[in-house]
Amino acid sequence: MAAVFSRILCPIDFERDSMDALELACRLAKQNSATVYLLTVIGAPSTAVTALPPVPLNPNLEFEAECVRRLEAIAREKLAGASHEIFVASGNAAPEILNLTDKQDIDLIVMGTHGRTGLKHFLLGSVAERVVRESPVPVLTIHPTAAG
Amino acid sequence: MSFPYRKILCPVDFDENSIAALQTAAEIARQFDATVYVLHTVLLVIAPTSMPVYVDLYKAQEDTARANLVELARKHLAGIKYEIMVNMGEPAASILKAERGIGADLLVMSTHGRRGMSRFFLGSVAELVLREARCPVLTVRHSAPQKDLVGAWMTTNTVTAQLDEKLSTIHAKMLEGGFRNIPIVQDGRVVAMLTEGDIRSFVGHFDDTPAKRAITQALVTVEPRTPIREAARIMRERKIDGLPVVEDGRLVGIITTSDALAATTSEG
Repeated sequence: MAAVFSRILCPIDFERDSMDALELACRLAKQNSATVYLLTVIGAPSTAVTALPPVPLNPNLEFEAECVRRLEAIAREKLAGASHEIFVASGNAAPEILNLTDKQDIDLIVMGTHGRTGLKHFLLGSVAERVVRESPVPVLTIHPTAAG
Repeated sequence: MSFPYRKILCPVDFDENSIAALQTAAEIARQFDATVYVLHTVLLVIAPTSMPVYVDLYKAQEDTARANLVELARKHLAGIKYEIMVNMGEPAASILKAERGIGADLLVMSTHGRRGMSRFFLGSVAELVLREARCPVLTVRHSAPQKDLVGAWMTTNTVTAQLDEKLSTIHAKMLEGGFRNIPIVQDGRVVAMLTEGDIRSFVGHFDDTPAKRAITQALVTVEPRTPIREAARIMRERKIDGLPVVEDGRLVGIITTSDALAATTSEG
């Protein structure tokens, strides 16, 4: 059977619903024998990395290395058996996600949709909204309440 | 949320974007042996209760929508389990209600519409659904194929047959799908088009004649980016009814004289 998706990008911000997204990405990857591309974007505290320890304003190599280590740990734990690659980018999350989509010929993005303010409108996070709007490839979004 | 997906909800509004969503839903359904619920929402501008006279008008719209959905499903969901749903009301509410009603495992929808009612899909509908849906939502954005190219008009999810397949089973497939042509495939590549006429000349011998003995036509293929006029010209000159559409050596669809006729008679 032809694989529907072979290169699946899963942006990771280390929060719960990006882990739910990863879980789904992982299942789809196994089903399709696909490669999962894990991406963390640093350097834009308002959109990407608030769950991490204090974020330096100018992301440095050490912090980048720490992200890589965390992604590797996640990959070991969650992606056992699935082929994967790890990327850390600096900048704003949405453009970096779209950028990697283009560069790596991604054919599916799987991500959480959470926002971080308590207002209902922002339950669709700005990153997810922009990615959904601008992505040339299908985007699979998981709402926090959908997880579980 | 359940995985693998069993129930896939696909809201459509008959533009090329939602057709792309339907094609994606079809591919996923095929993979998971899932059922696709194809939903169209007839937009109610005035609540029917306040204006009883409009009920008939909406009834007509509902019937038309249902007929269009049947046609869409025939074209894009061949060989896939599906159900057709027509709701009335406001699109986002209708989609969310259907999602909960059927207990959908996955929602596949387009984010961008281009004309008519589909403009409601631009932001508000997709955004509301993304925000409120309980199941994962797969949004599909489609760079719509240009209307003068084969890609915009071809039938996807083409039913195929094998070189050694007996005419009896092939004939059954063609009857079931209402096709007059069927691509013959070997090792994933199209090797011929078998026509109704080819088959008819073996009446009485369907059970012991393989496809390869009945083929009469030399294979001609087009690509999704072939102009529809060019495809029409080829079919007219060679007096054939359908051409396989091939991309990177892979069969992606079939274009028929009816499709070409539809293309030339559609507005714009």
